[in-house]
Amino acid sequence: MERTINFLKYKNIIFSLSWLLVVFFIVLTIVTGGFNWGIDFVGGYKIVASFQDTGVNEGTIRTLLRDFDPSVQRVGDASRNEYIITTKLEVSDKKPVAATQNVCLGKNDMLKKTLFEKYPQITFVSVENAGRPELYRLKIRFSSSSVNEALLKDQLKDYDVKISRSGSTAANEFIILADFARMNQDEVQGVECGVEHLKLTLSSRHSGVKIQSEETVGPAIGEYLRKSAWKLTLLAIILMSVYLAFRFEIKYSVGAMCSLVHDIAMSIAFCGIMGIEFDITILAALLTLYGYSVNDTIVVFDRIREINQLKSKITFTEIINKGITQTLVRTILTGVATLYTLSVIYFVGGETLRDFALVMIFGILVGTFSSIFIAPPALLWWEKWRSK
Amino acid sequence: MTRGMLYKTIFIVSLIVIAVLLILPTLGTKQMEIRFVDSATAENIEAIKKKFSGGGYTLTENGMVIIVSGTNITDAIMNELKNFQGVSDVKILKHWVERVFLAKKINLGLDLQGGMYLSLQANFAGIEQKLGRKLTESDKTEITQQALELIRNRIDKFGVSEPSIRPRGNEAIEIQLPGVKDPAGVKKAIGTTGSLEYRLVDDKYSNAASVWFNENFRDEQISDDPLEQKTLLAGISKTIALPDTMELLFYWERDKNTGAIRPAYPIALLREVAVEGTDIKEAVVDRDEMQQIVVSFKTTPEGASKFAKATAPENKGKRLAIVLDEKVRNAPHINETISSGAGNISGGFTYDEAMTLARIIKEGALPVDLKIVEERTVGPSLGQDSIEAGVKAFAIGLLGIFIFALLYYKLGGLIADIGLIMNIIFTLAILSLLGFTITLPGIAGFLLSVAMAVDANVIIYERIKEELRKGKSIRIAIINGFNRAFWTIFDANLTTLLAAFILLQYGTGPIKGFAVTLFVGIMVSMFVALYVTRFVYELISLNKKMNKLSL
Repeated sequence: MERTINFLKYKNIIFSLSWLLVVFFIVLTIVTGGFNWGIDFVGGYKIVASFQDTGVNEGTIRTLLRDFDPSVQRVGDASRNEYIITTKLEVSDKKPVAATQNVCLGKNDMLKKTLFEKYPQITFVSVENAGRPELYRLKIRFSSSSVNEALLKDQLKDYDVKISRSGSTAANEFIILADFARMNQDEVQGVECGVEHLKLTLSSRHSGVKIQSEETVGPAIGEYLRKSAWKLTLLAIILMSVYLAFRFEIKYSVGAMCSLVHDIAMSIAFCGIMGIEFDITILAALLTLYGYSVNDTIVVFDRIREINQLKSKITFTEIINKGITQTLVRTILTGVATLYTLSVIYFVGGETLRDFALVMIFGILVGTFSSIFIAPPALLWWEKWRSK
Repeated sequence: MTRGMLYKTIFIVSLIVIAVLLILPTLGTKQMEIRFVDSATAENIEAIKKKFSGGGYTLTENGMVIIVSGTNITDAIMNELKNFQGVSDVKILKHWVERVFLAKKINLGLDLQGGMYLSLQANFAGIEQKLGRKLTESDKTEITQQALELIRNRIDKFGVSEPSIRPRGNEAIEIQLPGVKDPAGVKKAIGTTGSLEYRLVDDKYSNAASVWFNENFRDEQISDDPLEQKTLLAGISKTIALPDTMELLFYWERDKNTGAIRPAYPIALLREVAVEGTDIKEAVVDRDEMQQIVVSFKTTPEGASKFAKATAPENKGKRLAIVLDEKVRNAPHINETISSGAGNISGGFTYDEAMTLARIIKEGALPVDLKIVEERTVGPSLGQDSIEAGVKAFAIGLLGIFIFALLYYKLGGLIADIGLIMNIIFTLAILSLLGFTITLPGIAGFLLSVAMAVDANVIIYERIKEELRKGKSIRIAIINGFNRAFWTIFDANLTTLLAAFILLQYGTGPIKGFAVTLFVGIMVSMFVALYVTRFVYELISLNKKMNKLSL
């Protein structure tokens, strides 16, 4: 027979320290400004754009787009020159929404947008009024010679434009005289409008801007998703406790719930402290963790219950210690296997899954810890309290 | 070996064979047929060839048709090719397994193949204002269903194949378009309200068109491209010498499996509009005296006289086509003059068919305008990056676990590894069978479920070791090990299943992919660990001479 490790020896200290840490994490989250809600939950827009201009960095983009109050973050290695640009609609704060968000594209902007969509390599040399209010002269330049007047005319067939070359054929410069008098304005509003503006601002300043991906979430959907998220978390906890109560005696359910709540609080607070953008993917990670947390605890408790049924003369404390010890190899092996796969996802699974993997890694560590140091003491205390 | 064991062997082996067949359409070589227009130039064809040079594709050229074979062939690539100059049609050919079995290939999510996801909502506030009352939940459901019908009617305007359109709850509609080229155009097509009108059918020319169509076009599928459909109709009109007062349109039928509508046959209509969509006030599904399902409608006072004229005795026996956005969706016969401003449309409808028709008619009475409340667009190159990252993570993750199991459990590890491979095959097979979509988080969920599958093996093996240490015989240790581990594994996995199930209810797009793979993966891992692996050990323990178990 192997030696039994006395896991419960320092239970008071470890248990209270851990819960203190939870409280500390939560306070820290609140003090540092709460959660970094992603656009899934508050509405807003997010684009991934790559630039050909080499002078671009996070700072220059932030300055260029200051009206949009964006967060800018580089993706991948520097040579790709690729950035995630996010603008959120503020919901909790009463802060005025960035001024540009409700002013949508003018007719002039529509033309620029069309040009940019067809020719990402375009450079806008100048845009000026040509006498009448709705008559504009645009000077544009292309980096390749594949564009000619006829092609350009065809691409802009929805507009009332006259196109002529400026300078020699080699210059690849064109003058577009655009008459907007008879053009209807497209109705684009809200978030849609904001993102169009942002893209236009980027493409007017830099040539060769490529939009790799684009997400917009309206404020109503954001609210809907946020409410559902809370409902789901609650539902998960309720269903799991119902199952536990059904399959185990009440004392085991209490222990498992105690560690579940510990893990939930700890991992949510972790997202807060790390400033992890809280989106649907993170929610998925958290829900999976709740499952894992209970899973891990059940394996330990199952063994404790089994030893308890043997009706040997040892105390309940010893039974618990024995149970933990006997399942320790499994706890460690499974933890290592899961942590390993998550680390792989973290390092090679791509940008989208990095935060997901990080939250999972932390959560699995906490979940493994709590199934040894949080759930068993709770089980013991409940048992002692009941048998008084 | 006992008879029972023989049956088990046959059962497990056939499961593996079926599973491998089911995943062939997904992982095996796929074929795509690219058809060129007759006027396509050598450069046009060269451009296609260049696109598929490298990447492990093989091309077979046969006149104006190129067949591309390779493993990386997606809907997004197909839709992208449709925009190439000189290309007339692109089709992904069905794998023979897809024809023989009910298997579908696992689709790539938009995050992996690139494309556009939209979530739309009807402008409820606007409708409330128009009706002058608050909308109830069932009103909202009905309006959303009507909008859904309208969107399905417009699929061709999106210019992509394999779009997915479905309601989310009762308030929103989700559209997923793989590889969309012109997002602005799609948004514009969605933003416009539907045009509904009622026009008389000319039977003589309709018959002539049908005859021609049946002779020349019976076995071919009509192209998805609206431009080609128009060319086809113009061609038929010319052949049958259709007068200028008439117009040839397609009659569209709904595909029962996909819910999408497809052009079925041409039909000749008078150009003159008999009744406007707005002339009808309401339409509901009802039953007539014969207890048949009918769509009953009421007209506006103004519409009543138009309807009376359209259904006048001289038109009796003719058909009145219901045309939504230039597509004929139904053409009931006129049985009697309707002058009261109320009538029935009968035609042996099922309830669903009648609902669809009522919704189409309502679109004229109460047009729904839709707004985009959520949009996610992923470019093809980002999608490709994601696939590579996902596959790489999966491969490295799997390899590590394999080695880990081998090192730690030796022969037992080898059996566990075989179990893991079966896990992967079975999971993919189930995903294929259900026609699921795999996303990047889905790949992560898959990998995670493999880690969980290891857990089941660890629990069992540790148990067996313990039994052996207690001095039990190998045979008894194996039996006890599996028996004792059963409930532990069951209880433990059930909670994770619960979490995945909840997520499934909530998730959209990528997250749904995660929940699905996690759910299916865990179910499969329980089956493999508790049934298949157990069987392997039972076989091993038959060997009475064995006195040491390598674990």
